Amino acid sequence: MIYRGLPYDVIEDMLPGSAAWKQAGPTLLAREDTVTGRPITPLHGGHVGLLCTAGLLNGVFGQGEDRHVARWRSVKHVAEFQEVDGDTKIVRRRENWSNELRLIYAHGKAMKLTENVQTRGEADAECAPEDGNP
Amino acid sequence: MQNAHLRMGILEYDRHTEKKIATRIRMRITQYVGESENAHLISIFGNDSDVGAITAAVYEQARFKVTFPTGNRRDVTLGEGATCYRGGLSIPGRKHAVRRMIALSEELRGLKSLSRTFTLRPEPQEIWTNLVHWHGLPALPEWAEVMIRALEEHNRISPLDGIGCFPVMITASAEEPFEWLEAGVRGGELPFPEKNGPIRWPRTSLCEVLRPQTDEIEQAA
Repeated sequence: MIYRGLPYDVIEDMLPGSAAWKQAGPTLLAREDTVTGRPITPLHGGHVGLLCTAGLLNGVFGQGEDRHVARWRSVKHVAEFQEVDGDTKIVRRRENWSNELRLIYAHGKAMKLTENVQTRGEADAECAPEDGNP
Repeated sequence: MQNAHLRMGILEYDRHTEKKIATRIRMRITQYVGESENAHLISIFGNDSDVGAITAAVYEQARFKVTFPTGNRRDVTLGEGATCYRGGLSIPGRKHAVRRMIALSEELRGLKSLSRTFTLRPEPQEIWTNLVHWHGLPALPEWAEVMIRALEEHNRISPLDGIGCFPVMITASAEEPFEWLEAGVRGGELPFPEKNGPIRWPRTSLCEVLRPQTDEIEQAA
């Protein structure tokens, strides 16, 4: 008896290297990009800001009491507005991106810095609808 | 690796049109992640038309029958907002390339809510890395053991149905682990590194994650 179907053993070995996995991989396996080395010219404040917000300068910084771990991330905010026009209710969603910085200091203090003033314990901004009036 | 067919599942899709034309497609599943009726990841391969039909069915939010290697069956759907990634595999000695498709649910991609994190293996370091990157937590890879213990104490890690992997789901919003980190650093359980600089997170390759586990091979045999 000869098996003429698909060679499952060969396919199983080849699958992790397929194009489909390469596309889906970043969703399933977290990877972090970091930059190291000395830049050709000194960086301006703007350059550093861009690198920070891109998450390329996450790490351990500071000295003594100010020693901390910093991590930046981009957060999507979705604001939902409702308009009533007679019997019709129109729901509008406005999306915008902002940056968020979380810090944890060596002495145990933790901070979350955002674009807006937020209180600790507030729901995560990402994908959370914010009810607001137009 | 031998006996791959014993480690794969089967996906079945039945469609009945108004003209009473029945279509039935059966395909092999290499990887699957699901939680009762909700599928989060389906990885299949086959010919062009079958993969095309299943892709269309995923976007139509159709229901599929999944048969696990153990023989258990389940009706599942990927739900609204699922996306498909397609590609081809050229097999030496065969004329036509094998088509393959990976479908991911909206929840797994983190578009619906960020309170659930998925990993393909219950490895503490991988769970911690995924959680930290998903929520943007200021943390170090060395803190994995302590933090995974905290997650387990709070029953936040739950195993999911899987084919070709051993998926787990971590149910925690960004604020909870952030508070545990704060308490851990304050209590001295989470030590700070001696030197300043970037944090090097361990990198895991897909080949390593998707390699059949020894238990799985023994089970199939």
